[in-house]
Amino acid sequence: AIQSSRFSCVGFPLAYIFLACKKKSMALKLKSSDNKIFEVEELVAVQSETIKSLVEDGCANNVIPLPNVDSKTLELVLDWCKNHVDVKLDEEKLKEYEDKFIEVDLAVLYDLLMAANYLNIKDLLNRASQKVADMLKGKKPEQIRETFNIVNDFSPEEEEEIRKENLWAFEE
Amino acid sequence: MARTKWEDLEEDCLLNVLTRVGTESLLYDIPFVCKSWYRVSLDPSCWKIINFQNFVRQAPLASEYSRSLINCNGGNATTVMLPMSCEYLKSIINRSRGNATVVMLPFSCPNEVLRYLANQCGLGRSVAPIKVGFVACVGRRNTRK
Repeated sequence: AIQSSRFSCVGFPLAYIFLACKKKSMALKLKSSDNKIFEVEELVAVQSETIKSLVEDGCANNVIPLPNVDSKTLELVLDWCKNHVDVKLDEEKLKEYEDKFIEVDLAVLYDLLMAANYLNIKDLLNRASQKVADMLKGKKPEQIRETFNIVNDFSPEEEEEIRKENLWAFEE
Repeated sequence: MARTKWEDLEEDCLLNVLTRVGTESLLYDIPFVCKSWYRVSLDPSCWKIINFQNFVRQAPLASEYSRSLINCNGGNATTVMLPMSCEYLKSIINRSRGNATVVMLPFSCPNEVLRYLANQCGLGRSVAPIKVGFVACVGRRNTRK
């Protein structure tokens, strides 16, 4: 009776935290592509929509294999998830964390992007995408190719074709 | 770096990135990087927000008339925004396949483009809400011979 009256006073947030604490005891086992096992709280792991639907379908009792994510990347991703379990805690600190988190070299950023996409973690995917977009902005095609190690697979004729398609803005 | 192939980045991943680079980059730079990036740059979701304002570069294909405008201004290209042709604006707006939600039109934008916007993106039929940032530039068009 005491429990329920407390709930009605402070409403949803406390109920949520209460449920969250209760759920904390649940642990999931994730297996990276290089066969390392990560034991994580369910609350942390289900920020991945992919894992969440596995849990909801009752497919998360054994080890969950993640063949597309290596252990180095998974460790980073889980760190992100741990720090986003309760987003409302401290926005300032969270932003600081995110800014620091995303300051990685391009190879790591690529892995994070792929992992966030595969695991379907929206906020991580958006943050990583924004980081890449910021690196693209204001760069010329050759600068982009150099930075991202991309081979130009256009023939001069094809390039000219795109030029005509995109850059005839001021022709009379 | 060997296994990070940015040209082979999954398409929906790349799309998420390219929706964030802005219109100028999507026109001037991204399509020229490689074939897969070019393909993704034409996806309608890249053109939901179109901003023709605040371009810092001119298209290299400027015509005789455009060049004369630049020369009028002491050759300082960055301070002169050349009027974009009506057909050009329409063709870019059309890339959204009617899904554009925000269109920031350039200076000296012909009324025809506004009408086109209304028809294409459903402004008149109130299918999709559009915020139109329209800045008229009166003097510019009068200099045309």
